[in-house]
Amino acid sequence: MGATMETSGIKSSRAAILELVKAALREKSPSAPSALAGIATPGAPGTPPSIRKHLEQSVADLFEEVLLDYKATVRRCAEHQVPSVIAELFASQEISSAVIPDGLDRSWIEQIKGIELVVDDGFRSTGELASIDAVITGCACAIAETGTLVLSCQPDEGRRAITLLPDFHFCVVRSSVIIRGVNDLFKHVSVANPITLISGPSATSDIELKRVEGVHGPRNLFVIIVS
Amino acid sequence: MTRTVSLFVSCFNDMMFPKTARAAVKVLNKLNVKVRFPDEQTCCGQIHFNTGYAPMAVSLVKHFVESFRGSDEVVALSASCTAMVREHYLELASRTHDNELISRTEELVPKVFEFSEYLTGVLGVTDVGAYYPHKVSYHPTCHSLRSLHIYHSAVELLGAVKGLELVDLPYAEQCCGFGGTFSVKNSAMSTAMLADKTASIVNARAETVVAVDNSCLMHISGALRKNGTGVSVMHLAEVLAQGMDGGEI
Amino acid sequence: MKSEMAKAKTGFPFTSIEQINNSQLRANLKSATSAIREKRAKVVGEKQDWEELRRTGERIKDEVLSSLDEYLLQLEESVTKVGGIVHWAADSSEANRIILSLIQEHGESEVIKVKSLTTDELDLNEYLANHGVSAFETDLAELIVQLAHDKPSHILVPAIHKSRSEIKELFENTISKGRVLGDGPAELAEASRLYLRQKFLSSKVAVSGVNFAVAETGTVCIVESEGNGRMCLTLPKVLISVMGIEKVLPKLDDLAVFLELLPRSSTGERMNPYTSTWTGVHPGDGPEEFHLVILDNRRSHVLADPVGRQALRCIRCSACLNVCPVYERSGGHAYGSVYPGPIGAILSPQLFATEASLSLPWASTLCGACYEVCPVRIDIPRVLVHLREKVISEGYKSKSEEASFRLIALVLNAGRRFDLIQQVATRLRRPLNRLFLAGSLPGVLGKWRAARQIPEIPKETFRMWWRANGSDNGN
Repeated sequence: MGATMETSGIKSSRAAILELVKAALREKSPSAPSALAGIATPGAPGTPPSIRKHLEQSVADLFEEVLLDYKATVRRCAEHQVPSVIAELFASQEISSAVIPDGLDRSWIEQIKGIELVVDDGFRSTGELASIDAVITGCACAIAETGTLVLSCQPDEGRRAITLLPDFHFCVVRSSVIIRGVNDLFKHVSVANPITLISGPSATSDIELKRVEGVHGPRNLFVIIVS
Repeated sequence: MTRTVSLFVSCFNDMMFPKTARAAVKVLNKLNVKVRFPDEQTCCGQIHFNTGYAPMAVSLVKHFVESFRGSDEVVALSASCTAMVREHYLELASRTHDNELISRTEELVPKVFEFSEYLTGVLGVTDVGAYYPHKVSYHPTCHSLRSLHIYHSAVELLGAVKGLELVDLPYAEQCCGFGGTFSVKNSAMSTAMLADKTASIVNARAETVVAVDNSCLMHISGALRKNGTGVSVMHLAEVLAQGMDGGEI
Repeated sequence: MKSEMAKAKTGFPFTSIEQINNSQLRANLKSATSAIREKRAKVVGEKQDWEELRRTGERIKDEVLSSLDEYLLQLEESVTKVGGIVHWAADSSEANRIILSLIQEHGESEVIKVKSLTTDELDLNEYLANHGVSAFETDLAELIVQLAHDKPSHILVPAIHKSRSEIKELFENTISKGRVLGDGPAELAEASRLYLRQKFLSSKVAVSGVNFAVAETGTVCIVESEGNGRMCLTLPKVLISVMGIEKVLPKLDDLAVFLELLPRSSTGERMNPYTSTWTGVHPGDGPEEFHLVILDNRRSHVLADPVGRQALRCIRCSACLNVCPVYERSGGHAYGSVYPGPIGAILSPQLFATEASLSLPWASTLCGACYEVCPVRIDIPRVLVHLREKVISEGYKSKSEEASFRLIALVLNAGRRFDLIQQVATRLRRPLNRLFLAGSLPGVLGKWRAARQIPEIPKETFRMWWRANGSDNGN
């Protein structure tokens, strides 16, 4: 089907590509054969059965349920209980050091005992961050349907490296910031900063499609939902 | 008799599986539908089109449209042939730039129905009064399932047959591996798919496999017989003609 | 030569045979594809508006393709405005040259990579190796494939053809030399974590693909699971991302649509563990230099085909592979391309047009399962048939096959002629049926009978019966 395209030495590739693209668009595509084309027949073998139960749940309940599916650890509490819940979770794990972003509500970490705590000033080397066990952040937006934490480098979320290198991530999510679906995500967050969507701990299914929680990112995810 | 349909039997049913067509005539007559057989009819052109010889298919499209011109309704005994007409005829006719052919094709295409689709969708019938006291599994052929979306028509018709026990076919939605010339061009792959399909059929423990495409059934039954499984195949029309007055068809 | 293609020992009918008879591969693929089909069905069933989402995805991609030159220029402007540097590569050799010279400018001889089909398409790793640069794959499956000097066999799970015991042995001979590993997926993943950790912390340059790039803002998006992507996108000083021209999206809200469509179609998850977006260079967070390489490599040629161009809507989810009965029995290698399965069967012949790839449009029964699951509604069966016609019209065909089809069409072009041939066949049915049952059969009939009996020719055709009985059968 035609020879490989010769690249012109005279014209820049930019101009050449744009010209080829423009020329390629002259002929319009034919339309689809029918309205039903490519749509699975409901109720027929192989067609996904429709599941409606999620529609009736509150966003916080749904968020929790989906997170649990990802094997994240979830706690729900009132605002004043956050410090004790975090301290309790810390005590249940073997954690000796933690990093926090500069803008984190310090009252949240008041009750954690016996660990080395550092505040990220933005200049700590990756090597240093990699040697820290845990990170605690807030969360400015979360998505219930997909169990997603949306981190956009807010003051209480920090830069990307601090939620990546430590093996334990503790994230405090106020239920007021949970949106239902992905569809209006970008109405709630700005892309001026880098965005990381986190849906459960790091995972792979690369070996025989068996899901393994934990590869390179934090292998342990703890989410505290504050009502 | 209030309705008259033109029967499109399709080329290989005409030659190899005439009893399917005779059964369809019997069922339609029983439902007070008068049947015509325009004898200029041959083939829908699917095999040419699907193999990559679309220009040759164009002449067969023309022939089909001429053969069935003036029909009130056309009932076809193959889902894949019906899908060919419905999905590709207008485009193929348009290639000729023959306005008369194009408008005749436009007029004809919506009048062409697959047999089970015609019974349930147009006549509104599910119980044709058939009796077939056997274990049957239904294989939804790909074109009937995904192009025509008539899975439920066939299953409802079978469900209404007295004495018939419909058993589940595992992996029913998977293609049997026929695919027209695919069966010989990629014969090793076709055979592998066929082996899995016949294994599912045997596991389903049915006596008979039913479908709405004799082409797929010819492929499936070829292996069921070669391997001595004792499972038979039947076109849906033949099942629906069972137990009706008039005995043998 | 051209007309002999059908007889040559290349192409899918031949490359698939070995795989079809590989019991380990068949078992791996069957369990993997059925598991992922089930997962997909569950999360798709939860989205009440799934079909509407698919139509939206289709519409957005069609909009992009219909004004692609304008969107690319807009993307270039946006990326430049936020501190990125845009490069244009007409083909794979130009893309490779650009990437190599960027690496060399920084004096590096090692780069880390995020799984990227586009760089596989470029054979980038091999090119870099030939020029003294080692590229380390960081996705677990890509790492397995790279260590085994193998080729990917699935878009999403490139090492789907390898069993855990094969991977254990591979790791014991490479990245975990001198250690004895168990064959549990968790332990094997841990071995790769240990091996790659140091690479992540020390590498200065990363190379990635691009899942989506947003024209209005210059935002680039990568979707992944393991966190290796985040490592590559966050830790090195220089990030080089390569995207095909079709990866651009008009607006941010369009990106949200694809973040719903892609994970559910791909891994069968509501959302993949990690999705990263970046908008140029972010001081104090991530790479100090961001290069975006925009690649054509014959995509504009695909775009010029009004039917075939819909293949460019593809978002590389691999749902079509997972439902394809042919792929399930052949695996990816039989397709001889970085793009296997149904999407590969329509992309490879258009993008690469190698002799072997021209057999791919026939590597399908046209069952249509791929079309139903495609999140951007690519009518793969339609494109397959279109490409069959195109390949034949360009002269890659068997002369004898064409002659047979011409003869069949001639017979079928008149009812009388067909009737006559049928009558001859029914008269000769006794010797013919004997021949079909046990005689020596050449050609297609022989191939057919190798696995199936040939049905007997009946004593009369339907039209013969109709002539005798039609008028008094209740009519």
